[in-house]
Amino acid sequence: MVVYVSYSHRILIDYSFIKWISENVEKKGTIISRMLRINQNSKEHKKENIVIWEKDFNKLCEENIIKDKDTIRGSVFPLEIGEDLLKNIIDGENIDDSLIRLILGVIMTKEKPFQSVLLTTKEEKKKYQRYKPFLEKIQNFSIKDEEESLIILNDLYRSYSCERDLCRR
Amino acid sequence: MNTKFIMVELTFSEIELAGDVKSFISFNSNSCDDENLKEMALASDDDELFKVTKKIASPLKIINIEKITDEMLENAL
Repeated sequence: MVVYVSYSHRILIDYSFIKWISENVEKKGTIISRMLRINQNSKEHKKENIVIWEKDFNKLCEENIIKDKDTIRGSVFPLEIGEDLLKNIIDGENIDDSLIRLILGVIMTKEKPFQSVLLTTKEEKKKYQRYKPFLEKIQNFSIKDEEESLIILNDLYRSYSCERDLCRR
Repeated sequence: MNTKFIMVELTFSEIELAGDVKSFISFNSNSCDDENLKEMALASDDDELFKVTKKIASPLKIINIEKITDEMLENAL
């Protein structure tokens, strides 16, 4: 029997977080496996509970940080937001990649479970803080750095494993 | 002038839950020609993860099913 879980958050992952995992995390396989699980067993967003902006995904592939596209696509689903369209709507050329990710994260709060988190690195988090006035208005969206991010991923994975254990009883 | 045509079969792979693969195979009896693959999939636990490869030109045709291994995950990044 397949177990489907309603997770507390939807997750957006950025370029820097994937790069950090690839360079710094001792057991990369465990994290990738947990992200795969969270995605595959999501009730509301099957295969898309954890997403990445498609531009970040493609850049990670081009730089050979992502070595197995198919497996990583299962762990973090590449989502297209329509960058050109967004640049036309919002004041043209001044829009940067950080703001596009924030917009994507905020869009994700509009669907169940109405909570989204952006997982990034300490360094990249500083760049997002430039948009603090915008972020302060969004109560159900947050940004987490490396260690906090791992805690969130482990929490969601624990939701899955608890549900699975309940079903097996 | 001799012109040679080389047929290249384009494929794509996706990660799937074994439970979903089993339903897919059950509902589409011609979806997998390899009896060993079919048997392996049908005997698996529903919650197991597979990498499933299909033809782009005929996405109802499964050409390979691999169990996700620790090594595969460790080398993905």
